[in-house]
Amino acid sequence: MASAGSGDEKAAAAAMITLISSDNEKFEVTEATATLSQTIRHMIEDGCTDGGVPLPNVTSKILARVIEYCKKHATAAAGEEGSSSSFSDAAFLEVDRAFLEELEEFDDAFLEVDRATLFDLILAANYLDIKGLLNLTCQKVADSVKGKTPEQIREMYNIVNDLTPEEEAEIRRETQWAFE
Amino acid sequence: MSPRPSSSSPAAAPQLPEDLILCSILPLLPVRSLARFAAVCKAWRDLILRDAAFAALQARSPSPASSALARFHNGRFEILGAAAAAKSVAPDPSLSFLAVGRSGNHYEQLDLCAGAGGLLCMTAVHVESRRRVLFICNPATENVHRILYDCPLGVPGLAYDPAAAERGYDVVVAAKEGWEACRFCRYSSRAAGSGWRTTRGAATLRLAPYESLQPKPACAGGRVHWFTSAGNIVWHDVAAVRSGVLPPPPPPPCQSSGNMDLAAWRGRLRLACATAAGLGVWELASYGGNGAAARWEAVHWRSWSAIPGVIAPERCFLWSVVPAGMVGGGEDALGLALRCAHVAPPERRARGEAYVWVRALVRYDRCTGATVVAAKLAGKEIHDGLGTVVGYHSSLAPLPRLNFDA
Repeated sequence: MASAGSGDEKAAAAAMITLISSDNEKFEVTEATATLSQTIRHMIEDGCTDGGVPLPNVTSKILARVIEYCKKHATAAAGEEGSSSSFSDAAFLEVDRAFLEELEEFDDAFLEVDRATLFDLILAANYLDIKGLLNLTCQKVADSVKGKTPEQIREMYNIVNDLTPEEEAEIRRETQWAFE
Repeated sequence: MSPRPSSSSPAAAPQLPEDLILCSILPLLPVRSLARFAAVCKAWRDLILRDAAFAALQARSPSPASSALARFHNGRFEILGAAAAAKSVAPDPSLSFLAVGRSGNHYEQLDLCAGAGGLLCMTAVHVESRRRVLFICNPATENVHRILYDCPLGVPGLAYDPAAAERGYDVVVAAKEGWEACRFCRYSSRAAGSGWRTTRGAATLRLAPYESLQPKPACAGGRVHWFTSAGNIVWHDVAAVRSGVLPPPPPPPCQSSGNMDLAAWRGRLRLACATAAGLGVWELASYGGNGAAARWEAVHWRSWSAIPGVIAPERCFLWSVVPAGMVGGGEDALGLALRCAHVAPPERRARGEAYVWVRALVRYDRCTGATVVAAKLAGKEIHDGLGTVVGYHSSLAPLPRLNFDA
């Protein structure tokens, strides 16, 4: 990736990585797409991706979604890098609005999933260390719990209330304003 | 097949591991939600109410869920945005915890000077003694420090970085001395009891005659930055006790400071500028020095015709757009104060309206290009508080323990 020659660049762009899901499905992706994952980037740097990268924590269903995200955002990252050099030359730059809008719409549509899938995406993003995807999915969860009550949170996350009634009453007294 | 270790209860709802909830999701929430969630269980209570490391993590993670544009207007601290979203972020808008001193003292002329990392710096005057004071407060947790304004009057700025290892804040007042000199006085929470210090020598700046300092300085990277009336940027480095003057980004954008705004974004200084052509945002890449010029990087440019909700100046006979505040969350939104007037479109003219007057603050999301009216200006009020719109983060940022006199 670090090479500057155009011939090498083409070779790097064409370099394919095989990802193997927990249910043994194989996915061929470009290196640019795969390296959005810091975990895979480190594997590539260590030269241990021959014969494919086994991802025993990620199912094929989730991996397909993760790759979909990475593909979209890898193009976005490439676009940003390309334009950043011209920023210093031309102070005024009409931002490629259509593309940014499309990316935003993609992210919104990407998050239209059920809770189980959303949680699996968070787990996969965490395991694969894909910062953008982890932020996106965690933000979605944060937005959805923001207005909830403690009871609803316990139910949603299967949390047992181990506070004594006295302790809970004390906390609620301290934080009364937050319930109004 | 599930990638997760099987849950203890059969057919349970899908679950996230606890560490992900506690370290990746809770820090994105505003204080109001967190305060409620302290009653969920012991582990959450201990994390939210008693864990300084968690508070620091939350304080340096402003997110779209926990931050918004805000202004201090008519004695109230208002969150500007959709009502539902604003409610979860909003602290007590009257900031009543400030006015009630320990012995029932009262203050007046409360005003907002600056904000940084969820803390606000306010000035006020004590009703009886007429002494001027500064409040450093976190309106979300209702913690407050009161400091006597015991230095020459100037423009106070707040240097506070929740990500810094050494917690504490500095108030830096930039004050004109005579025609051209600018001096800096500093109050540090880390050196409690030592009071105000006037910096000398290298930290005194020469400005142009009549060049004055503008309100609402921005703190980024340990430096406080003030606009001057000539459109320059005065900065003061708190730790190094150094200061300097920067020019704004190169022309055409900025001839005067009236249509520019400074804000910190992810630890760096950003400048938004509205010209007749469009809206630009720059980020300061280098302060220069040693003969090198300061370097600004353009991060955003869009013409008015591409921003919905803002009438292009060529269609108005009165047009003023001033950038007002940037949101520190994950999305990159900024406020635009509009004061425009144009000839009414035919269908409104038919109803007897000759002109359309617009006075509003719109929140512009520079990723999507979408705009939302965050506040409408009522009547003919001149002081609309748009000069001090700040990006506010509902933050657990603690105030350091201080042994200051009441």
